Amino acid sequence: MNELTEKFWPYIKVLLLPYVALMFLLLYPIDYYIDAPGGLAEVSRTIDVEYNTDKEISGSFSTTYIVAINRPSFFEFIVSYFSKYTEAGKLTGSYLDYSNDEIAEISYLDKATSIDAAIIVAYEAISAINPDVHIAYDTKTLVFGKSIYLSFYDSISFGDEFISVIGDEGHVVYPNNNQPNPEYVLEADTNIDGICTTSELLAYYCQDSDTYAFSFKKESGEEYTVELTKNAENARFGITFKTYYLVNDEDTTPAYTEANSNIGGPSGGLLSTLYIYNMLAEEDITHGLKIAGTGTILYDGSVGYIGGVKQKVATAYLNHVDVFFIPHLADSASDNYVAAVAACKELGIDDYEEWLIPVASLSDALAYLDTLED
Amino acid sequence: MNRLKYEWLTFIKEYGWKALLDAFFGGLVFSTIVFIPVFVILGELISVFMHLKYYLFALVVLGVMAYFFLINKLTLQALQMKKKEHVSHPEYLIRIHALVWMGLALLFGIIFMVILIPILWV
Repeated sequence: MNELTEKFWPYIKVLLLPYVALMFLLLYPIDYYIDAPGGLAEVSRTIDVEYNTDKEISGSFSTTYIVAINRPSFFEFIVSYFSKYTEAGKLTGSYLDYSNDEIAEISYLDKATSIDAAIIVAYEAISAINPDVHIAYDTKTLVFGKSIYLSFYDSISFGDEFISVIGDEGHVVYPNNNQPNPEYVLEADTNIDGICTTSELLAYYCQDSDTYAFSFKKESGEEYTVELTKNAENARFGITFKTYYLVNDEDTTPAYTEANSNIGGPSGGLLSTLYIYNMLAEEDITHGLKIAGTGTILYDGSVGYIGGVKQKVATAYLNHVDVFFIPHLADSASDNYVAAVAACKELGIDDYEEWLIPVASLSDALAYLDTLED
Repeated sequence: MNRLKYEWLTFIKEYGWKALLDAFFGGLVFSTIVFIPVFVILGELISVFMHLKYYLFALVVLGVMAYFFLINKLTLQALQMKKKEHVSHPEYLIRIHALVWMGLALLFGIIFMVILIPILWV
């Protein structure tokens, strides 16, 4: 050791500062994001439906993931400029306040709930023609966002179920999906259509005081109550809820299994739905094709927008897919399909019309696959 | 094999375990200092250019092989500096040692790329 130190000491003295500078460039995180092409993930590796097990499926359904780097190093930020497929920008909104771990938690929550949505939509579509298939689900209101001023920030996790809050005059307020007394939903309702959100209920029943007792349930089933205090500046608790339909496994037939995945986000909803639909349907709708795509799935079977269009289209192109479904809900520049066509032109992808298929719903995707021949 | 055994016994008799471990530790420390940025750069390139992951993992495997090579190279230098005149042949032993470790790196690299990458990216 000493011999080497003695020999290299002159180099160490000269290179120490550049070395530290290099490590700074490599490790110091900056408040930007990078979206880069990722890959395809076959849905069959994460979801399995115990039905039609003998059925031969000749093609495949894959979701498309991109690499989203939040708070990259200077080095990552610089090299991202050398790829025509990547996109970099400044972190904005609530993502600026969240740590990378929290962003990952939200992403996995999105993924889990999108798979439930895919199961519900696919099972419901098939149950209309096949009485063997039955879907049961519960409506739950989950924690989806937290502000930095939220009291008990660390105790409340993303995905915890909101149970109730003790409002003014001891009034127990439940989420809007679990109201024991529909009349007081109407009493609090401020919407013309008669639908009252949980936030509106909270605003109505939590006016007199600054602190209220909220009850939550963790995924493990453990319930807890915390006293949340309103922020002095905006009179808000700093918590965002979102209502989901979650599959009730025990009452759903046929049974299905989900495997763990290290890919997050809701954008695989449409392709997961198509895969599950194909598992339940009598005919193989893949026609031997490598089918991929992107788009969230909504409970009514319609498709929702996603982010990272350019990177997803590039991923599909680099992986030589036969069909790529993408949401097309309007002709505006912000529409996913319109953006995808623009991205193809920018990246020099000429044959996109052959494989880039715009869809607005599950029915559109099924109708397109129905037109294909083996 | 007999020659290897003979060279090893001669070497350890001449240098002793303490000198060998000291030289190896020196080689490990300096090689690690050199290769930390290399591996961080490769890791960050993989995260940005995930679509080229197989090519970049091949570079990682080459990097690990180069890292093992440098450890052995520096260990040999340290040993030679400890005894300028020696009767044993540390260069022979170190060459074999380096080849074994570089071969293992290549083997595990191939297994990682062929088996583990497709499993991990679900």
